[in-house]
Amino acid sequence: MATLFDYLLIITFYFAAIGLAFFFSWGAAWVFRKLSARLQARKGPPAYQPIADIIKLFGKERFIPRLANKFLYTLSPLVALSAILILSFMIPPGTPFWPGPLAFDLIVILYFSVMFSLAFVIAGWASGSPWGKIGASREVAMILSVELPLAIALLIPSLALARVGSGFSLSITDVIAAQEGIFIWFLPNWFLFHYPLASVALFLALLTKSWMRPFGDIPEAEQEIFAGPLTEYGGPLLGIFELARLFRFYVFTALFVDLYLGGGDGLIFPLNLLVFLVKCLVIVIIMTIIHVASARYRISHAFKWFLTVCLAFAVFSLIRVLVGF
Amino acid sequence: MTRKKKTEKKTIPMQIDEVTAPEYVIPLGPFHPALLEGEYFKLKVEGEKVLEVDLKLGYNYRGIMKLAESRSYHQNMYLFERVCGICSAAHTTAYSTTVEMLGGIELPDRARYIRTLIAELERIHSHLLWAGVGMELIGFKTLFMLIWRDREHVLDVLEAISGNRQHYAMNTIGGVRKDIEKEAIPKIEEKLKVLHKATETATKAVLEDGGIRARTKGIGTLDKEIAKQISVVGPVARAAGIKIDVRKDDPYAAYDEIPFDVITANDGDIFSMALVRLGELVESVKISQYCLDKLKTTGGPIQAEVKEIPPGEAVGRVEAPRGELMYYLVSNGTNTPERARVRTPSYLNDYALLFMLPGESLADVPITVASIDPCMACTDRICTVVNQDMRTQKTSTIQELFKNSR
Repeated sequence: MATLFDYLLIITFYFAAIGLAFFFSWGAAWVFRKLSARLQARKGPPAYQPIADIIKLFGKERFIPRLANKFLYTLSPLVALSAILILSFMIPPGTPFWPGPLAFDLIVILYFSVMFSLAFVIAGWASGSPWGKIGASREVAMILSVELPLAIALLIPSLALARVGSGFSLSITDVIAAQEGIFIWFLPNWFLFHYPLASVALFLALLTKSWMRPFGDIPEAEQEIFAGPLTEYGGPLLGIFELARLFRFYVFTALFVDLYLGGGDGLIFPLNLLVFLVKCLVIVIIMTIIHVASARYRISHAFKWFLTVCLAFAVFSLIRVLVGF
Repeated sequence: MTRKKKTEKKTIPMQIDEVTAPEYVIPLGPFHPALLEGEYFKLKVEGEKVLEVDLKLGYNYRGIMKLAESRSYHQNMYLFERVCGICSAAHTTAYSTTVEMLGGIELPDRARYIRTLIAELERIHSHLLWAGVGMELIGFKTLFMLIWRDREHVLDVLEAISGNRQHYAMNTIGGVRKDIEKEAIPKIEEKLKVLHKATETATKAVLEDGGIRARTKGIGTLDKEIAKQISVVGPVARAAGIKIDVRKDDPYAAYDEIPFDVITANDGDIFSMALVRLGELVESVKISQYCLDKLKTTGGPIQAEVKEIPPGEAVGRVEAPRGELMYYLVSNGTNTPERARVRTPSYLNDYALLFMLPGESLADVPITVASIDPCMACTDRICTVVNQDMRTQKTSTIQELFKNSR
């Protein structure tokens, strides 16, 4: 029987999770921008820049283009922000003891991650600009190519729970709990070492979902189609979109760390959070280096790559999980 | 918040027509992140595929050829320097070569080497600029930043020689305006070594990086026969396998004695154009080195004596970074030219795009447009004002333009 105290606890956790996600994303966005600047022989922005950009947008005029569908144009940033906020609450910060998740939360996470991308499709179509429509069609193509390997790679740890010892479960907390201990020699019991190919597939899918090159920035390729789906956006509505996009640094890295890198490694409270955040930051740095060191491919390349190589990695791991070798 | 009341519906240019969907028209330009100057491509696309292309120029018309008829030969030097910011030395070299042909003026040796050196340094800076922009357009921002960092070295050299990063103002009729001191030469040689290394790095990146290869190989292919028919020039022609180079075919300045290779490729795609330009960078560094070696030993004046220009006409050609640049001058015996005609390389190369773009994906349009290295500043000729509703248009005469500009 849930008491009032339980609800208050959940609300507290909710705000704590959002705060953690926000401040980590802020820092990670700065690391992303500073590191890529240094690698490109530039100076880079100060630490407050990622958030200053968003605050600036909220101070600007609110407008809706005449050709836009007013309802969807206003709704889509809110859809994106709510989807990413729910995700940042549902993905635990490295600990198996987390009130957010439900019994089948991996499926819910999958759906909300698609909803986040769909918000951009709606935005592009609702804005009434040809550039927005092309961006939206590219975003749809990205969803179609990325989501299949992403879904398979996301569910492999939960299918593998049965083989690790605990029973089959679609809960992300059970996946984190199952990764405690030692695999072989000194290697920790992470799913990265159990299913390396699936982790590569998930990493590439999440890299793309976080708008990182080589594939991620195709829908908003500046030199080709201005800002893609967000071409007609400006002011506070763009600010909401940018705020939602800021959270990607936390949500997608945390998802990878929880599923394949063992979360907080089952340590006690402050330590597990610290270990978890360090792992997230390492993932952000790896993503930044890949982003900086690559050219932008075409959408056809992305489609081919994800539905051949990435899907093959994921399906191979899936067969390994099901057959067991 | 107050908002204006909805007025009567205006015709919006390029509105998407519901009837012909999914084919619709995309306005690329006149202002677009991929374009550095004003030009307008009307792209009819189906999804991402480009079906038809229409090109419209004339956003940057300045009437320089008309202005040239009211200025003296020496004043025109400053005018033609400003036709284009990137190839200013090519324009003044072409102009002064043409005037020297009119007046029968022989260049002193030292002036020939300095003129060649400046032309080649400018080619290095222009090709590095192109390589950086091209990398940016395929989304490789890192290489763009690094190439432009290396480009600073050649700008430093030009600044050390002439005092300016652009608009060097080195050429004059019958020679050059400034000498290069012996003490400055070792520093320039050092910078040339850095440039040589930077060129090698860029070439290696283009040859080895999978992303660059995937985005440029087989894209924007210009067939050799079509290239001949529309008479493209410069690196675009050389990439299609046509071995033309004014420096070899019709040598000016000191090119008749300098050994260098004309770089060609066979495929005519963007990858070949990149390879041709990167190959030319290496050759340009070599030519610059040759000129510096000669400057160490050659003495003498840097300007010839200029007498009156007799009546007559002359055509001068030089190889600008973008291809053949032609100047046609008619003299009537006074100190002002009767007629000046400039034919710039982009004027010819722009029309190659109408053959290169159809069939490509929309993602490849920016890099294909940039692959011919279009330079609008020198190309725009006509001036047609199209009103905002895209229905009426008006062509201005030169008198009206003069009236509007004063």
